[in-house]
Amino acid sequence: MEGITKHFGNVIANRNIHLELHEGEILSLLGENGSGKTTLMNMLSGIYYPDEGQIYIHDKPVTISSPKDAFENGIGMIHQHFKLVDVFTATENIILGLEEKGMLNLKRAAKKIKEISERYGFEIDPNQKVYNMSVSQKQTVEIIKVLYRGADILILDEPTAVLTPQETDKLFKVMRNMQKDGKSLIIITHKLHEVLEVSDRVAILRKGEYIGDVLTKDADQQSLTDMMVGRAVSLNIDRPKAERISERLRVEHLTVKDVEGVKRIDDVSFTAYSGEILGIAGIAGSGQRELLEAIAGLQKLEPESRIVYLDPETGREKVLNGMDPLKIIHSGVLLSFVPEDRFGMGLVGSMSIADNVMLRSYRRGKHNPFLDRKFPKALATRIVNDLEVVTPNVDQIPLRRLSGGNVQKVLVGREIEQNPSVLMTAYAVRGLDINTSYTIYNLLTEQKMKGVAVIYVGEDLDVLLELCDRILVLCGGKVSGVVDGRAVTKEQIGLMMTKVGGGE
Amino acid sequence: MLHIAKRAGIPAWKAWLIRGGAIVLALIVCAIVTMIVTGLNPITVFKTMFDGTLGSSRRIWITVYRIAILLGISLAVTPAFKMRFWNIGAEGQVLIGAFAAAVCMFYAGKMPFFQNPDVPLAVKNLIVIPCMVIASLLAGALWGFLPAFFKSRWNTNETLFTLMMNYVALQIVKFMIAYRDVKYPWSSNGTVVGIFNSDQKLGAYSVGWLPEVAGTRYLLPAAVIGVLTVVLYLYLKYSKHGYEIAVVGESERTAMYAGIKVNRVIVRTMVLSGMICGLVGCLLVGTDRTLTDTLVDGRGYTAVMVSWMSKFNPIGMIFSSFLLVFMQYGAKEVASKPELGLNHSFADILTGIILFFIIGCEFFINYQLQFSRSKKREV
Amino acid sequence: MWDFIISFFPRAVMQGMPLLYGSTGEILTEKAGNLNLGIPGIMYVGAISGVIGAFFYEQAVPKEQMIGILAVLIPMLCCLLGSLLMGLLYCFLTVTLRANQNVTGLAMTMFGVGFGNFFGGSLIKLAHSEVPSLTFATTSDFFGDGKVPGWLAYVGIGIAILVSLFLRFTRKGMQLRAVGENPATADAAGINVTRYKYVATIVGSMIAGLGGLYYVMECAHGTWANEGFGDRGWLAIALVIFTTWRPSISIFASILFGGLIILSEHLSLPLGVKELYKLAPYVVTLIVLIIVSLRKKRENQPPQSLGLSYFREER
Repeated sequence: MEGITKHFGNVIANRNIHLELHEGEILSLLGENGSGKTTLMNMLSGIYYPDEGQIYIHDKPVTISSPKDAFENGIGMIHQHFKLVDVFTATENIILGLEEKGMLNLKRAAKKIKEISERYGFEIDPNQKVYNMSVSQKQTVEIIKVLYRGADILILDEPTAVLTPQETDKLFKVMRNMQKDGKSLIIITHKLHEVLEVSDRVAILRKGEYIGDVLTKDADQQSLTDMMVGRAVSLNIDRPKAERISERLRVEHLTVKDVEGVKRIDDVSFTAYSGEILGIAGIAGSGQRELLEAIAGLQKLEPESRIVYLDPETGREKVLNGMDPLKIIHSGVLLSFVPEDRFGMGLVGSMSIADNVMLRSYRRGKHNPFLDRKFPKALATRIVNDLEVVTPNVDQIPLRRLSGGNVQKVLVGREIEQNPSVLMTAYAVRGLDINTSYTIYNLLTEQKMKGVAVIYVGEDLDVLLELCDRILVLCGGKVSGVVDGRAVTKEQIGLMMTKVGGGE
Repeated sequence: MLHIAKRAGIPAWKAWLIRGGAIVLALIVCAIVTMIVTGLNPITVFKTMFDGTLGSSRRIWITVYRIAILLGISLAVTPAFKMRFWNIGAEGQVLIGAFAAAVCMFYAGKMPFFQNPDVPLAVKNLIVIPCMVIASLLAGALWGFLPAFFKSRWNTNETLFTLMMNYVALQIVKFMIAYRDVKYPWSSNGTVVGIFNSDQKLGAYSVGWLPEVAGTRYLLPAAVIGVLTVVLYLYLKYSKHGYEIAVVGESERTAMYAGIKVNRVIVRTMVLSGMICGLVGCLLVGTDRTLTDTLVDGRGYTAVMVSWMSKFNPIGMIFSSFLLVFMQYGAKEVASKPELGLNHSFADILTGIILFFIIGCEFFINYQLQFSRSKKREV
Repeated sequence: MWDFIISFFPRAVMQGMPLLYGSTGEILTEKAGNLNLGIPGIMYVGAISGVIGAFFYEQAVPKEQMIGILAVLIPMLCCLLGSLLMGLLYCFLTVTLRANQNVTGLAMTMFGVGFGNFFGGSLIKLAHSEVPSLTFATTSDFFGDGKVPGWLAYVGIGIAILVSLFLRFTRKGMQLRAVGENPATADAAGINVTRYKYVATIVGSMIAGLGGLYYVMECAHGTWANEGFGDRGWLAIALVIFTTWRPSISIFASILFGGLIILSEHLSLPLGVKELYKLAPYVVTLIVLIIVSLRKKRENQPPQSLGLSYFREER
């Protein structure tokens, strides 16, 4: 790839990038979130078209203006967000888009899929419907889809983000099998130890620009971090111990079923204390979302469940079962919640910062049918100043136009401004750069020291281990253990994530 | 290579300029089509349209009245659309409101009290007209409530639900018109209802007719809609309800998260929509003083487009309504000249053309066309 | 009783066929993710285009010299062409220009119905007809005798079966469903989303247009009257939901709807009550709509991206 540039509106996602991939190598593409890795790869796979620049394969210039062109040039990409049709089977998804001769023959395709699986060591049922699959199974379908088309160049976009350490090891094994088969692989990631473990060479992007490449054997964590962030960032997260610790939220036998009647949360019990950060670890989709939503009053609870809130002022117990968010607010429980999918829940993309801040407070002045916009505007201005949100204004520009980090700051800022006594966050730093992530960590710790019970659902185990006082590990909707954040090791948690009670 | 990219944003004046350009283009195409079909000079045709809609003070009043009605229905569907509730049932909601008002007007005229010539008309109307308004509000509210209730409970497809409800309303009205009630038949021939309470000799003469203001019966409905426009503008922009509607429209889960009762907002907003529609129905019956099954005449659907092409902005809807009323009734005026051999459906064709242009032009507001530079170098 | 069924059933089929054509066309369209509310208008345009073809053929050639194949082919080709252009317009606006599908559909229906009635009215004037309608007895005789379903009815059933098989068992059908479910995925798999949407919608429009022609030629036995087609287009859309996107079921469901329509003519009811009885198809659809939504079966849900425009570089 030579001189690749891509704009989105006024934002430059990639500026003048040169990148080389050799035959039979695994190349890591490293960079912080928002550094343009995925955009760059999307141009290789035909999802985007570069504004400037030229792509060469085996020294021949090629034009890739559609995913079809990419396939024809032997390029296949495994996206971070799986591109699968839910109501189709694995086989149907894999052969989707292929122009083979003759009638549709699903049996023959299934046989070929079995062959590929055996060659590289996948486990898959070709007739399973995608909506019944686990994340790792879906990823397998994606990889086989690319191999089925005979791709020589595979691009994996953050493949390990949704996997357990064990599943990650399995994936790396498969990747090496493919490499031995003569295939070239690009793996996009921001996890340094994985880069060092699996790849031959590392290429680094920063803020849309190409910084350089190094052979993996010549690199270590520190040097890669320096190249990635431009300056050394302390990896240590401050973790003071709070003095006043008391019970704040007690969850007993919590059980939640989804629409199909499957238990998403199964008999979960724990206690959250004021003055501590309770981390919640688990593979994506182990019930983290349902757990937080259940506490926030957004899920239907099974009858044996009990959620008890202990009022910090009076010390009295309040049972939150069966309350909707409005009732919880009215009963005086100060519960803040930063959900994982910001625009899907929690924020309104087309509204300004002030109007989004108003979401929590617009009911003020009970008997006035009209909105008070002055107060939210002042609050929004305060959040913008305190958290250094980069925005041209607070009351005009739609929130969706701000970058992910700034959006998250607005959300976290709003929730903290409520003076909560319980603060729940789900993947609060997902998609954020390192500096913003640290801002968020500090905010959470600050809240903890103020006596708030903080619940932090996270995916990065390193962060969980450094930030949280205690860590609750979920596996398939069940609690597989609660451990001391200062004493436990990463491997122990990894094991607990895959099977209940694995840590003991 | 031609390439499409999404615009980051566009100044409002530019967006309206594009829309204005599209309308001008559409008018040119309409002129060409008219020329081909009629063989007339388009200027003559436009002059006929102009005379037909704005040529005399009486015509201006009728046009104002038609604009008001279309605007009223457009206002009614707007809160629901902001909520992303695809209510295409305005047709039925207006009709059932009109029906309810007509029932009040008709049966009041048969009651001894209203037939008593000694009771002043003002007193009679003071009783009947509020009854008509309330009845039409209730009927419209019911028509709005049903789809919203099922949508909020079981996520029943509202587009189809409201569509079916249109025909339910239509058949009820047709039934009433055709039904030969032994004592008080609505129509003498089963198809046409005459003017209600129109017999000057009877005491019930003109009971339930909306009063004339400043010598015209069209001023009152126009004024009501004018007030409604302002009220709805304030409601959507500055009230807590309006804010809730916007949040629900953008993301139901965010609304739930904020403690907004989504189902309640959906039902409340649709009842409001239905009530405004019902009120418009009442204005129609009170001004036209009769009930026909073509009373609404597709304006329930036209209103959907008016609301959408004005970006749900009540002020924009005034202009859109004017444009569509001018085109539709102007074209009908053209079609009414027997020497041209046209029929009134010609108006729908012209309106369709204008709508296509306005619908299409949104693309140029949201996207921009780019020419890939690498290609340029080669050329 | 038996006589009643004998006379009733064929007429129910005849009343049902326009709905079957319409719903089959709409199902194909919706499977590609396009919610085409313009179908009622398209059926009008299909009908009037066919009528125009038939009219000029009847004008040009004396009755005795009319050739069956031409008398059938000319209206059919005109009808297909008319509805093709409507489908093309819908696609251009919603797929290429990414306009709102609901609004575009409603505008197309307004335009289409106006178009049909305008040219219908013009033809009636041209023919100096005494009554406000236009009859092509000769042409329609080639389509059928107007008492039992003619060959075009079997074509309609054939098309419904073919579409059903196509969607379920062919590669192209599978890819089409993928486009309607998840266009981004289909795109990433190298499927030309735009082309699939265009082809499915245009073919769907043409099928629906034939329904309009069928109505004129068989149900009305060659008589065009303005507004005669009525609200059948909307009933066809109702059928799509009624059958949960299955053309094969639509064959039976359309006959059921046809039966409801025809029953009102068989029963001797007072005028007013008859109007009330005509409520039945709408109320039945409403009830089915509610029941389907009560039972949340995954396979019965509408295509996931229905009603949404697709733009590849959306972020």
